[in-house]
Amino acid sequence: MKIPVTLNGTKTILDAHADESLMKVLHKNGCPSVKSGCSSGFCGTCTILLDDKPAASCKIPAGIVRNCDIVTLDYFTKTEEYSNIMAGFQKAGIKLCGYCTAGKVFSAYQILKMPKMPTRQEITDCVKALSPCCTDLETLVNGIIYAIQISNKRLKRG
Amino acid sequence: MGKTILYAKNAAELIKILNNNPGTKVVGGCNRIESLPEKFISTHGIKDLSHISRHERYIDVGPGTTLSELLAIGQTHLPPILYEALNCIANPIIRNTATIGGNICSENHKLTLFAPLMALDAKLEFKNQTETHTENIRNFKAVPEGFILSNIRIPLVDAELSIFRRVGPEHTITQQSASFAFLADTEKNSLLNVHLAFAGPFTFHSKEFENFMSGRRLPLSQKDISQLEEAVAEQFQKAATDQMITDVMRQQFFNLARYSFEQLT
Repeated sequence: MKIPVTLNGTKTILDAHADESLMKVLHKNGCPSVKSGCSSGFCGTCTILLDDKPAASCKIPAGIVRNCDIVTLDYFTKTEEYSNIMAGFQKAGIKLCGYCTAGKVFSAYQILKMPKMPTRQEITDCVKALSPCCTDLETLVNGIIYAIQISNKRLKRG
Repeated sequence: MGKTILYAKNAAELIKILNNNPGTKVVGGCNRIESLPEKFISTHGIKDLSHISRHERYIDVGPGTTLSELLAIGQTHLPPILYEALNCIANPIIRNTATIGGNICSENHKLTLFAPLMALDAKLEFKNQTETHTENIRNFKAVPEGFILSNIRIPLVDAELSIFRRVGPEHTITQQSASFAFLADTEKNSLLNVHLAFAGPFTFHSKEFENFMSGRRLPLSQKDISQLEEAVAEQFQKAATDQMITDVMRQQFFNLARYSFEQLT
């Protein structure tokens, strides 16, 4: 079936079965950052932004994303939010292994978008279930806090 | 050949499509991709099924509301037991697409929110083309044929004692998964209202037991606890058959019930 979506800022028609996992469909459609991991929505490796919210593409059937706005890490790396997040991660000494990057970056993005400054506990709750393959939880939380600070500073300057 | 998906713009169209396409199942965020029905229609993107309206004594929530949207109402505006239950479901990434309707209407196995909503005495509203009817979640088995779940009314109960526990493996639903909820209110050193619910492979709620417990003087004595344990065990055994529940789960329920009673000593 034909599924119209906006993929990484471009209107696109995805050709897929309704029950096919969105992860596979995106991978086939030129988004190499969308990878298969645990297939349970926990490791974060298949994370995308679906209508500006992080979602596990391995758990989403392609059929339900009709007319949705999808952003993958391939495109997100060109944004200012990504630069802020990576600067925060770098400051905390985080070196992402590549497997988990989408989950960690998009989770940080969701936290950055929160209307008020989250507590350390709230940040921990948001990221504790992600794959801890290359970064321990405390360091990841530090990285997100640094990213929030960097983002706020840039906003004030802007 | 893959499965078939149908689309609706609003609730009225969804009902119409269900009537014209027998066998079509309504699904929520579709997080159980491996067990999708042959012909399905998702509440994803249907705005009039994703409402949240706050009132003085209750909140009305559309079944298409995601768990993240519900959590975003904030800890102070949700019953503590519901907030705790929402927070222990999967992770924020899954909660961004999983819906409250999907959690309630899961076939065969009741999911995490069911027990807290039973304890809170939530009401479910069903609609078809001509009529609307309301049912207490404690009596809910399945959405009637031709109807859709259109609203969930959650009373804003702030009980003095509120206990929620999820049992079974973390982050996944298996036959060992279940949830336990206990709410108690006191007045002048006696128990005013008590609500106890358990949901997983089957649901347990006993008005008889709650009446037996209500009105007792506080603090509860060891004798009271023994009596309550015996009474709840009797009611639980009546509701649960051996096919439904393992010995481990049965024991987990008894432990949680005893723990809850001990908080009133």
